[in-house]
Amino acid sequence: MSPPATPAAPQPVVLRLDQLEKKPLAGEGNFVWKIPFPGGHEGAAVLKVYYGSRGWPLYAKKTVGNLLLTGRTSQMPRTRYRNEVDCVRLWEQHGFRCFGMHPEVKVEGLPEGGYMVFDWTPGRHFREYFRDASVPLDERLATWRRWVPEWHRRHATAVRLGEPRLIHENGDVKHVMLWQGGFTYFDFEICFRSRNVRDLVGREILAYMRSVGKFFGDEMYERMTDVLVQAYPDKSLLLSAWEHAFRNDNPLIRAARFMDRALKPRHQSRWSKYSVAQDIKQRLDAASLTLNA
Amino acid sequence: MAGATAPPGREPPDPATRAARRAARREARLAAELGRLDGNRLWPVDTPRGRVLQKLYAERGGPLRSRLRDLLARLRGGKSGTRAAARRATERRLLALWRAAGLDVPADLSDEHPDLANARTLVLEYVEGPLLSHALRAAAGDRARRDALLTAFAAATRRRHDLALQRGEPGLVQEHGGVQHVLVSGPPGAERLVTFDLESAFAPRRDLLPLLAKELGATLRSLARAQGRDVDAAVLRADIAAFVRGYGERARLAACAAHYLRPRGLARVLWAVDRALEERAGGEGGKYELMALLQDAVAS
Repeated sequence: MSPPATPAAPQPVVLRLDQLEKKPLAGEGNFVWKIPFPGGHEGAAVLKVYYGSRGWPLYAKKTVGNLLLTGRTSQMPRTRYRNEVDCVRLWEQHGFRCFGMHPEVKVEGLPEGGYMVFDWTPGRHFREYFRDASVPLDERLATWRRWVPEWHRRHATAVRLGEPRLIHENGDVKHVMLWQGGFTYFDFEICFRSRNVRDLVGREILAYMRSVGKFFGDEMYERMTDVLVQAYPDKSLLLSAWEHAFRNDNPLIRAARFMDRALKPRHQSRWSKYSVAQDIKQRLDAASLTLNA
Repeated sequence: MAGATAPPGREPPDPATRAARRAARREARLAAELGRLDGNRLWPVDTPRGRVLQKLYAERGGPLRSRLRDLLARLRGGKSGTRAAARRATERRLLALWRAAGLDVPADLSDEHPDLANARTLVLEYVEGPLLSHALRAAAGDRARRDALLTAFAAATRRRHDLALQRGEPGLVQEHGGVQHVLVSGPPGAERLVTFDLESAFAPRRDLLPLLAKELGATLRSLARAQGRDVDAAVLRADIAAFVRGYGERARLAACAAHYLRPRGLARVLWAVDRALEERAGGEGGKYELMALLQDAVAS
């Protein structure tokens, strides 16, 4: 009996940075370019270089903050590269589609372990799609209703495995894309390190819903929050959004959040995490049979 | 008890005003709830295998109050813990116990829905149907329907009490008994009476009669409350009579009523104080008055 066939490793491809026609895609931070790539969608790919426009002092300062204060991974370029590669593999292993990677592509002129070539994915960002008035409202809400259970599945998997890397550190509607009838995620350079994954789930839900409010306006936010509470299966996990803002298990963090709410004027705004957390809690309370009895 | 009248100079509010007040109270309650998570939440959840109920057990009151209540409950003894985790564990245990005894309670589906069940929640069978208290209110003028519901409820209660006494199992006595914790499910004539809210249990003891008396006291009070603010004494007497007929075991009911009305030992002092407080508070639909009605119904 012959051994099972293993997929053939892609042939190495070598590109030269100085010969590439580069079209910039990102605003600041990393260098992200659209480059010609035979065999890619529309003959293109994305070259992401983790050594970006920021200087070393800023990377170092952010790294100290990330490691000592905010519980995130390092900002240093090679660490961000490793995190991104690991996260993409982890997410895809659990069935969440990310931009395809091409580690077989070598780019001369860039440091090894400091860049990655990704598939060019000409989908529609959530940020544009949900405010596109040419798409009927019902269709947009149906898309959101279809996405929410997938969102929940990722959260539930993260909690079950105690895996903080399944939580989108930079999670918001800018980093999800509609592509070929499904959803595609990107931007995983930095991850959380905390093992309190429920709290991270709550944090991510608030980040997404805040961005919904900021980008799509009040009316769309209300509708999408209604759908979220209806369609998110595990309501107790959804409640972790409110618990993240108001009921942290750690009394010190809870006290700090209280001070944060009381002292920072920006937290009085409509799209502050506290305001969004209360909106979600209000809907969960209204959906509960106990309070409706 | 019947024909409660408003004090002189105060007209009773019209139904629209009462509804508006109720809505305002509900709004205020929801607004107050926004800042805290007090008590349980019960969320219907649609899954590929049908609708289920996700029950979240949350602490009652703040961290200090919930701990103090639990401490007092433990010091006084007699009941299971009142913290959220203890209530969840008690409910899980009692649901299994009751189902094993053939009693109708929602199925615990937590093992079938690991995505919804966790250390703070249970996943329960979703039982469609009104509360027995609401069904009784809906049948306000229909004596035959009320009798049918109450005799069926009483017969189920009696079967459970029989099992509790046979086995010496206090878990089969409902600590939080009453018609507000029973669902009427299914078509008329083939209804299931499904008991829920089993998150608190009596502790083991040799004599279960005082526990049965407590449950019956709570049940009779729930019957009075099911009528709403204005309790019709004649209807209540007829309800209690129907309950006695359905229960059947009159000697046990009489013993429970006697235990309630003529306590012995130190209980006599405590209950005298309790009774005086109840009478001072108005006494309408109070448990002692209701137990006296039960005693009359058993004797008649």
